[in-house]
Amino acid sequence: MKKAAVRGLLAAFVLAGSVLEGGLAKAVVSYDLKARLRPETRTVEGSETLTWLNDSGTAAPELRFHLYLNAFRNNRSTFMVERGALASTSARPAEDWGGIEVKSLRVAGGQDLTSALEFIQPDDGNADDRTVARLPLPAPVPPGGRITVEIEFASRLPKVIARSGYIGEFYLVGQWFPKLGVFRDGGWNCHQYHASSEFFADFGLFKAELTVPAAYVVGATGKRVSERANPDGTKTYTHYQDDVHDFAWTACPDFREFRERFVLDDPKVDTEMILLVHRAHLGIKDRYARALRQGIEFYSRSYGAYPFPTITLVDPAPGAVDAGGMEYPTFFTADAASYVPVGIRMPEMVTIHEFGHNYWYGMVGSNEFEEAWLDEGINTYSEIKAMDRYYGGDRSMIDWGGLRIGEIPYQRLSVIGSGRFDPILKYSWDFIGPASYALNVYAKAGLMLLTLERMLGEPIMAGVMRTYFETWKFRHPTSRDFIRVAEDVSGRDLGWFFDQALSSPDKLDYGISDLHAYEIAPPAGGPGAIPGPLEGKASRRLRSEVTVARYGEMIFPQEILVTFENGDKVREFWDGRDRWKRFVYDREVRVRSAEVDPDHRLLLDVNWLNNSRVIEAGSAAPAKFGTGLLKWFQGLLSFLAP
Amino acid sequence: MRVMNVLSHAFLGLKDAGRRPKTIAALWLVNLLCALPLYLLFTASFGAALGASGLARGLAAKSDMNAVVEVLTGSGAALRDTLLTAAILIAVHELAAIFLAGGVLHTLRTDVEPRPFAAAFFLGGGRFYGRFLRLGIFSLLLWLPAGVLFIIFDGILSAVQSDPNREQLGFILTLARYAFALALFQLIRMISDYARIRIAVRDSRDTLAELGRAILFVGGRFGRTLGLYVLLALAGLAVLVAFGILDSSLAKTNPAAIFAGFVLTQIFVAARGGLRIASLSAQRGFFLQETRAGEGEASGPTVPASAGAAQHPRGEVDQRPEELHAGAERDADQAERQQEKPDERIQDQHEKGQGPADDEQNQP
Repeated sequence: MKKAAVRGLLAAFVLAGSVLEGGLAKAVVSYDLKARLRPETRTVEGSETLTWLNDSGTAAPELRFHLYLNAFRNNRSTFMVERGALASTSARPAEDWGGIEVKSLRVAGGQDLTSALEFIQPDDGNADDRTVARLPLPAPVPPGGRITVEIEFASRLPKVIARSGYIGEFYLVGQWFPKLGVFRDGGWNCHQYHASSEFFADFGLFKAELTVPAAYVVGATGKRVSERANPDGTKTYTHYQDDVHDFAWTACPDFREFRERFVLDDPKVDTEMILLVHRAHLGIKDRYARALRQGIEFYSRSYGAYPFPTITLVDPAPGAVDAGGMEYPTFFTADAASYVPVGIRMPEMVTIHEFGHNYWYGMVGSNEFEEAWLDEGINTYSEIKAMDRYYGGDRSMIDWGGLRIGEIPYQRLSVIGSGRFDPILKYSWDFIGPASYALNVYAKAGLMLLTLERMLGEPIMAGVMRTYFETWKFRHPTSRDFIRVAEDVSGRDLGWFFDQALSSPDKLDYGISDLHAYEIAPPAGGPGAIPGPLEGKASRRLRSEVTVARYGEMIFPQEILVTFENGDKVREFWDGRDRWKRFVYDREVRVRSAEVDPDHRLLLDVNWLNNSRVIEAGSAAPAKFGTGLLKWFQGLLSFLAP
Repeated sequence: MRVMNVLSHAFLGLKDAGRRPKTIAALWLVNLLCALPLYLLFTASFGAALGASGLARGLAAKSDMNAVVEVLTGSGAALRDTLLTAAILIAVHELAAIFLAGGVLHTLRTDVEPRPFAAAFFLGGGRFYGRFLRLGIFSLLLWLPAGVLFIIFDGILSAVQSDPNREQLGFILTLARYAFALALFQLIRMISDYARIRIAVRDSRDTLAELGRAILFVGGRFGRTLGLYVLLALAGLAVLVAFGILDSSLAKTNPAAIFAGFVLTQIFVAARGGLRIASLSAQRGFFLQETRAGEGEASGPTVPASAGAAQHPRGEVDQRPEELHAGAERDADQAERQQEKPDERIQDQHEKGQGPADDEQNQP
């Protein structure tokens, strides 16, 4: 108790002394939060003292807040409409809805300005959407000026949806308090809550006092600096973290807490892994722990040391599927069920991916609304590399019952089968649908970066990624910043690459359209048609023709490997601009096979089947798989027969 | 004693099936013929999808699921055609299997004059086709009480799993639900088997009534009918396990190994066919033992009481399993020897309406 009190005092001192003086990031905001969970009403009663620094060169006449829980207020919010909630079949019971209500709002201890708060809809004009509110200020905040706002609010938690809410006694409290947008370029960047994206906020200091029934186990962003038991049967936990831009927490009496220190020498990492594993999932606790260790090690060694003192993994309760796989600073939710076989690596993949967001989102604070690929795409790229490294490229997703599938083919699945409606770079709510958003922002962007890596070479790409992280951590980069870093580090003009891969929905597809050989006829013809000296002297010659075609719109330089029957190999290069290109060889042997992109560098190529062609097609593969199918089908028939 | 009786019927059923290679061959052949179009379609479409791609060479040498995924993703139309064809072929096979069941049960009869195997088999298949088809439709009615049973079972499990946090228990109970559904499926199959046997033995045309009587029959001897069914199902499981072990030991990376896999599959399918015959024979023997004289084969045109049968005062036939199967074995042997002697007498009786219930195909 004494120790806790000392810690509390220390934290208060640190917070008071360093407001707006964060360690690694320029602290633009400071939140002092107080929250009390009332399980009987599924609500959080809260208050916050917010200090904001106008870090721009323009005076701010108003503040804009995210009030994200209002996305779950009814089926007319932009979030729910985008999710298809207007359809009568998707009705939710009344008790499943949530929302946030601002009880009072005062600037610098002045009068209550709640009535001045106005809901606005900057993205779509949906008058039913209440996820963004503006507060006209009595006086503008000048450049370099600060403002302190005190807010009291009540958050009614929805039944788990979009990685927030409750189910049973499990609570995931995210997007739960009034949070400022980002003031930049002379205005507020404060988007409504959309179905496909969540985050953009300024870095700062977060302190939170969380009061819950004593039986609840609590986890939260940042380090726990104190805890105390209250006379009313509750406990209060205080967490603190600087250099972050959000705060989330969880509470559940069925959590089992596991703590493990993680230390790395190069680079220097010393952090505490906190695993909150639901008692139904204790069997997979070791899988979580191992994957988290792998994630910290991989990201630290690849991009830069993990700098925070804690990392908290939350295992959602059974049935809380919508709570799984969500990132918050120093805190994330994993996703697993107790019966997932060891060889199905979904828990590992989700753990590594969500931890990775501490880099691409947590530290490199790009704008997910407008350029989601900068966190989801880059993180998918990183996650694929980590999974392939630790589990093997040919089995990083599934290695179970003789079935082995790597993550690259898994990600290619969605890209291959996709339509050509959207480019990767687009506002998240402007995609034709959630599937298009997901495949572009996650899979296609991840494969785009892997393609870039295979084009530049792994060491150069490693340099690109590390430089990007070092340059832009605790800042707000854009796609242009990433491209600039890539060009600077590689020393190459990559505009053509990103123009097509990032900004265009076009597909990449090159292939061998024709391959054949024939014997060249001996010289023949009328008198004088062929010079005399050649007559009778030419040995048997074969002409081989290889035609390479561009089936898609994207233009990429191509490498072609031509193999002859005597084993000779020739590598050809083609700029890939025309629709086709033919290579002709006159030799004593004929061509045996030809293949574009023989090293499979172009992971964005939507059809690898047409990449290669052999002069004599075999039937062994169809027969082999046909026999396998026959086996299963005959077995099925014999089982079903009456 | 009852356990031994059930074991004895199972054993004799297996023995009986072993004596009927032609019947097994018929079942195997129909299975293969129904499956072959799918094989041909798949290899053709898969081959067309692969074309002359170099990827095919790699796939032939090594089963790389990553490459398979690549191929399948780019072969949507071929996959659609394959699945559609598979569905059609399953339906065709189901209809053919109804014919086969009639053939099998007819050749198991001991009360008909011997005739060539093919003639007996096709006669039986044709004679009972309409009735077995109707039976198949009527047996759909059994899914109503089965559905009610499943709902009750599901309700009980849901009550057991009141705590959603007990995820492991939930998973086990989900498996239990699947197992219960499978058990209901098999139970309906078993009842349908006894209904078919009743129809074949009594040459009855009242399929709905026979289905009802089959339910009563199974209900009255549930332990033994189920025991017999499970015994033979376990034999089937043993065959499946043996096949799985042998099949997985084949590398299938060269044409010889692929062919060996194909041959092994055919042996497996033939073994499954044999077990099906064994199942029908064993259940038929059990049924004959359990039923009374006027209800059994005595209804046929010729009533050769087995040598070892003891006539009860009220006409009940009390036979030991060996005796019941002995007649069938005799009959099978005779049929398999393909005695080319047309049974004109029975044919005449059919034409005169004196024989067993008229074949539906013979009616105007």
